[in-house]
Amino acid sequence: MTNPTTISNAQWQGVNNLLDAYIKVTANDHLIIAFANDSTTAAAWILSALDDRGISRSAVPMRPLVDPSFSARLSGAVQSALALKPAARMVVVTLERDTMSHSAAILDGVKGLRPKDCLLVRCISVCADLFALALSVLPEELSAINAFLLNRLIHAKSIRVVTQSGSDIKVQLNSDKYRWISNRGKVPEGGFMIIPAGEVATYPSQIDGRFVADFAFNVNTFVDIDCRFPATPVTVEIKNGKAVSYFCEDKKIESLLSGCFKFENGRNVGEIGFGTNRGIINGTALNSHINERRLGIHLGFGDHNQYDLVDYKCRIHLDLIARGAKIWIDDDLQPIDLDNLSVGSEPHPDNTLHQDAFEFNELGEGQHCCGAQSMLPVKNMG
Amino acid sequence: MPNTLTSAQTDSIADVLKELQDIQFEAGTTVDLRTIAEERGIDLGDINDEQGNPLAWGISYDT
Repeated sequence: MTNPTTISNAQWQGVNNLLDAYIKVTANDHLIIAFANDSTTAAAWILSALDDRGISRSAVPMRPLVDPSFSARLSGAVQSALALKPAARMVVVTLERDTMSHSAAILDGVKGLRPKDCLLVRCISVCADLFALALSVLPEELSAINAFLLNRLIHAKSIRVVTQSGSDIKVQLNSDKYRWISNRGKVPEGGFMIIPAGEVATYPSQIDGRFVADFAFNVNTFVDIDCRFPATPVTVEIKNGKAVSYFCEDKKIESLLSGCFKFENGRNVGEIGFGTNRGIINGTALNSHINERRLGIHLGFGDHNQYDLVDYKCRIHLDLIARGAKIWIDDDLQPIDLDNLSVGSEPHPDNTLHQDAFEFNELGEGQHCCGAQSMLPVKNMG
Repeated sequence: MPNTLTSAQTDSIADVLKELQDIQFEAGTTVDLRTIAEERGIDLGDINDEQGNPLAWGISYDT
């Protein structure tokens, strides 16, 4: 993404899908594009598309993770826009490739706006593939697939998951206690939209078996290696919710696993997730949420996605991702085959979380949460 | 919106990119991630390969 003039038709379509299908821009909107240095080109694409449409916009640069001045810059942009366009819906779009930063500052920047008057869109893993692949699929399709899976999984007591790579795991679910996340490019008023979209996930109350990840990993650290497993899958033996052994022919990957599993609680399986974005086929080398959106199963080792409902913490969260999956629910004889999904137009459950990479309580202090009824967001999940 | 770029749109992107580079320079936001991690105080020890070369470092999210 170093030369903006080389943008492909697919990438440009992704830019327009983001604006039209995800954000649903109108002439009444004002968009603030906050961008890290690694996402400058993507910011230019989006701003140019807005200029084409004659929609008012601002650009706010940000340093990733540490930027004491960002809050003031963002607040200033919001106030300037409101001075010129008092009735505008304020849409804040953040763009970052390697990080996810400034959550509190972003909320502070829109403080005082009514939820219906603002939309917060956090684009992470920003790269060419985000636009060409992840954003090629529209929220309606993601929502239909998520609804199909959730309407079955939320009521399941146990599932068996088998993959072509050789995984065979048994999982007990407890949706009365643990929350389901549904990331689908749609959020209620006042919510954060996380891009890339396309996943359902929860916490496995029990999990055992062999998991063979043949697609990629995604970890909440900075890494400088190709995150895909094109020829050297990772095999993890899981007993009683913990990784008890692991193997990968690629010794760099095996060293990475070893390093992650050394952390306290790093071997715990804190998440079972299913990617639901058909646009992602071959994945990207980037350490990226894009890969775990692929149709398939991923297990998150280390930190969990349940905020205070699970009584351990871990600084690391390592997602291992497998292509496709067949899911047997309870005593059903026919599995759900993620590689051959045929979904209708079922209503999406309204009691799921809507994001998987977030870390604070957007509803404010004092909100109670319990199982699938909760709307509390969770942290650092892939 | 059409999904193919016109030459005018390509020119527009180049102009906007220049605009962004100027405001980044003014705000001082072009900085290396390792520098930021050091400012922040890296809270995760490097994960190294068998030869001791770093594979992973820092936490990439707000903490």
